[in-house]
Amino acid sequence: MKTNSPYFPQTAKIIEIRPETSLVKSFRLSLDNEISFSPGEFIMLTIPGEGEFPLTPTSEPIKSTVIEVAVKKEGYATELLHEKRIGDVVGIRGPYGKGYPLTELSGRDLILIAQDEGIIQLHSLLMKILSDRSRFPRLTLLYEFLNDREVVYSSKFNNWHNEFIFYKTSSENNSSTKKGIDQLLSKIDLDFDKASAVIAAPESMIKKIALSLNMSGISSEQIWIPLVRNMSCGIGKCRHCITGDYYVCKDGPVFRLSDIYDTLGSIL
Amino acid sequence: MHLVFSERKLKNLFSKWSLEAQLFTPDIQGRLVMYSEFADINLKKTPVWGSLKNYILPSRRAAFEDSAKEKSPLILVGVRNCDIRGALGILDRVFAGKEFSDPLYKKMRKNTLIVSVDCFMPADTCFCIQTGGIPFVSAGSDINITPLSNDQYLLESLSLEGKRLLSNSNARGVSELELRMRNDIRDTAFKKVQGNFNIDISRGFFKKTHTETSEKKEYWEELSANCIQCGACNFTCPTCYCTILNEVSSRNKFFKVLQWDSCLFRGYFSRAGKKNLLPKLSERFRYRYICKLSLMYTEFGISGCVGCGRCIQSCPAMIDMREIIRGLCEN
Repeated sequence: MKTNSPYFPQTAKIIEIRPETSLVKSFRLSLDNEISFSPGEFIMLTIPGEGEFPLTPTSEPIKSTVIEVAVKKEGYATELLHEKRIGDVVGIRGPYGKGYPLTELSGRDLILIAQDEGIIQLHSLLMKILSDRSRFPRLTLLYEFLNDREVVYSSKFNNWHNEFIFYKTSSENNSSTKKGIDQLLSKIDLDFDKASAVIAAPESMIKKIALSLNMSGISSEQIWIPLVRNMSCGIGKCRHCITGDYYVCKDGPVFRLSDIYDTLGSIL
Repeated sequence: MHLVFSERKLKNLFSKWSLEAQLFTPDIQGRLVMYSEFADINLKKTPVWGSLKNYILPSRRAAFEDSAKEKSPLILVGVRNCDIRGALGILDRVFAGKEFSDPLYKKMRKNTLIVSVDCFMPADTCFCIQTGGIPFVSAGSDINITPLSNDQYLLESLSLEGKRLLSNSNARGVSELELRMRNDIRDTAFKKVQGNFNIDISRGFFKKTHTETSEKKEYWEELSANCIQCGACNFTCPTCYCTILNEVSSRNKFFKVLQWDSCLFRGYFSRAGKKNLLPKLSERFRYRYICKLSLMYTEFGISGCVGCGRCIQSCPAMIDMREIIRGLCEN
């Protein structure tokens, strides 16, 4: 079909499926046309005839006709994606939005904090960092999960331990998450004045985790959040993702915490 | 170019136009004035139902239709200045701007010739002046019509295309007196609209002074108690352009439709995992006012409300935007 419509997806064929947990699967997609994205930018994934949803690719951000995504089954369209098999066709459009500010982050002490499936939103950034250690020499990953048996990317833990400072904690063993992250922060040794953090967690948790970071000396200007909102168009036309004075699709989805602090968990 | 037409001559002109384009003119249907295919001349009553938005951003359309066959041109007669301000100031900037412009919107916009009409008899619900508008047109349409009397209509071309439509039309030139009459008619309409509402919302509304009231939960719960979440206010509004991109079942082919959406609908703010950022009606109701009166002003530099009053007339629960604004000022 010949069209200039910004809503038209390109065909993406599923070439590999890997279960990560009982609810999360990774899909490797082969595209008609090569795309390149920066970590944190998002694509819209279409299940033909059924639905479309935004997500950030998990593969290394290089120009390619193959990308990977990891999807948790938690709604109509994501459930349908989970039922797909190798060889089935979906659609993608994008990448859209603004990802992590790589130039601003380079050379700094980076602390990535993920809770549960939040790790999916950080994965391509992690790949970027690992492929460019001269720009991003110092990295700490704190990964907290609520259920020991449902851990996304647990097979990568050995590799992560070898590559950077990696702490994991299960909140099953902790009375509260704040305590979990607090404990981890007290363990790590870094120059907090030169540190930037990324928090990928449910919005209800972000303020608590940010408070711990603030107490350690990282200001909210140096904390970055990948926001999740309902999106319909992905390109600033439908207004569904508006949060405060921002469109999450155009101005984000990655935001400086200080810019969106007041609207966390809500939209105004 | 200014020309004066008798009603008979204007009918002839419209008939001539209807040969080369689809021609929609205001038609009195019961209590309402609706656009319909040209039959008779009814240019005085405001507002006309179905705003300009319906013709350039239809309620439901295929999302990839830009490669479809050329649409025949449309001439829409009776458009008021409120709709033109909304289209120029908001819709054009969203759908025909630099970022991700919408080919079908641009095509429909280009294909739609606008024949505007000065507000001769503004409704009691009209309040464009307080939103930064005026009840007559001096730019933005192709031709503007001022009804001077029951039988005399002053037509002014405002674009090259408008000039072409008026060429060879066998009408007479305008007199000084008639131009003065037009000024008087415009003054009268202006005063009438000015009397309908007296709070200036042209530079947005939710300022610091209103924040306290605007955050009161009980206040919004009370205001929204009668709202039945039908979305009539959104759909009749000439600047509400929220759309939802829906899939149409079509096996492995991509087929999407764009449909108007309403921020009052419960699903508007919901996302996967049964999460909803504004599950309560009172919150979504408040959001609508903040969007119209504040977010849109910040984004586009004009009030998201253009004061056409259609939301007031269309609301089955008799919710009046002016009363809500008044209430916020008083509380």
